[in-house]
Amino acid sequence: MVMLMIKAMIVEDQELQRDRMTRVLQQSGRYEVAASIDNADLADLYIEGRGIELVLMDVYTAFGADGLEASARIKEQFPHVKIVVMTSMPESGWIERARAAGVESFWYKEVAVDAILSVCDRTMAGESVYPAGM
Amino acid sequence: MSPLMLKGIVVVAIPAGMVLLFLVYMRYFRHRLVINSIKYSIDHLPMGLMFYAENGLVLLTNKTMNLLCESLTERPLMNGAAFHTGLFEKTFDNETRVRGTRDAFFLIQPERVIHVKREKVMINNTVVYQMTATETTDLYRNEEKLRDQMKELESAHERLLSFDESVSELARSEAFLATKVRIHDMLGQELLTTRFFLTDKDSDLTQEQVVERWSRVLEDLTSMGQGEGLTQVNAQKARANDALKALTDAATVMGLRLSFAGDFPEGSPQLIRIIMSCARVCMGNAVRHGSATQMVIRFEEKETAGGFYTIRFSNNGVIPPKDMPRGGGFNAIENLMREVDGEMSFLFEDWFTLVIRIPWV
Repeated sequence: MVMLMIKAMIVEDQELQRDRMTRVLQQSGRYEVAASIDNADLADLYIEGRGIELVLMDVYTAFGADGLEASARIKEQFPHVKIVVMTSMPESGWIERARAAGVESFWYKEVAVDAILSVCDRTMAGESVYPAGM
Repeated sequence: MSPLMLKGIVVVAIPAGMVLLFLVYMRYFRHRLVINSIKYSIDHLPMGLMFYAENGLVLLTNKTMNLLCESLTERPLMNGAAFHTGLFEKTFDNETRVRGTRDAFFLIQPERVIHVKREKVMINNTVVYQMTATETTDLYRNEEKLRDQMKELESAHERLLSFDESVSELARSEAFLATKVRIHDMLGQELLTTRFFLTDKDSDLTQEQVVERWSRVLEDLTSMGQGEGLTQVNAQKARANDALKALTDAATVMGLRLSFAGDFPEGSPQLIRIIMSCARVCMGNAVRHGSATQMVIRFEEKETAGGFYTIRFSNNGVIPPKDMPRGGGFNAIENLMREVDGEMSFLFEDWFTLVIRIPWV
């Protein structure tokens, strides 16, 4: 039986981070990173063009593009697409904005990168993963 | 001749002579300039006028000067030199301010300002002083106002110069900070990469790749040191190139062939964001609703007056009706244009075009 891989997109302005997350997801055998871009403003075009099902979205991306704003747009246009917002800054206001936008999960990048795989699996399974106590 | 005849002649001759004299006077003397007429005219001048000898003896003065002397000294004008000295040295009135030199000064009182001028003239080889006193209240007050306004303008000018220096300094600081951030990011990434290469057994990087990456970093730092990377213009160019590439890649994903005409405008990240947002909406609509395969983004020269950029996003898809319903995308662009005092319009020609006009940012 061929397992269909979930098409994921990484939106992150740091090339190193993008590479590492791509490696983690693809090595799991469950995800295909169909797009890896640095600018949240263009994310919706890739979703449509590449059939993306899961987005790992950084909050602050290239040219100051706002990942939370892009997430709200994506959820409006493509409600079936699941989003995991990522950040390394402990800004609690962003968690509220993410919830308001309908984002499924929120992850702090300071945790080991391998943990993102667990967050993605749980999100695709229908769980909403937010930092404890938030 | 009889006494009666003589009496008759006298009776007739005297009145006739008088009449004759009167007629001669009226014809010849009435309009002649005489001392009295000169004095009359001088007395009625709107300014005070006085001539006095070196010892102060008043040779000629007019009514206005007399009245001035009485109003200031409460005494009649007796000695021209003493009067002049008294005015200048404020002997008569301590509330009056004096501004000027001994020969030309202003008497500044709360209610009026008088300009006093003195000149030495030679009349028949004798030194005579001519003194005038003219009321110049309005003129003086206007001059004071102009002087105050001039001071304010000079002060504003100083502040503008200082502000200009601060802005230049700020721009320089921003450029240095941007460069520092670039260097920090660049070194940070490579250090992390190297660390993971050394500690992560699963890393698929090779030693050659790590060394290659460090070589590139050194090249970048060297070019920065030579001034190629330090300038704000270079940073803007790099941003513009990155933006163009990002747009081209996204268009390819959508099945669009994207081309550009004109030079990408120099500007801040905010300008790039505006262009990206408009391009995103246009590309999405062009493919979804118009089945377009080509798109052109044209950057037009900024207008020489007013400082606007005009950018056109055209596609070869189905041209919508002029009363097309505007979705969230175009509404969002309209709101964005409002925020930056820009304008948005559409062209329904051979190709459907979104036109935006935005001030320099």
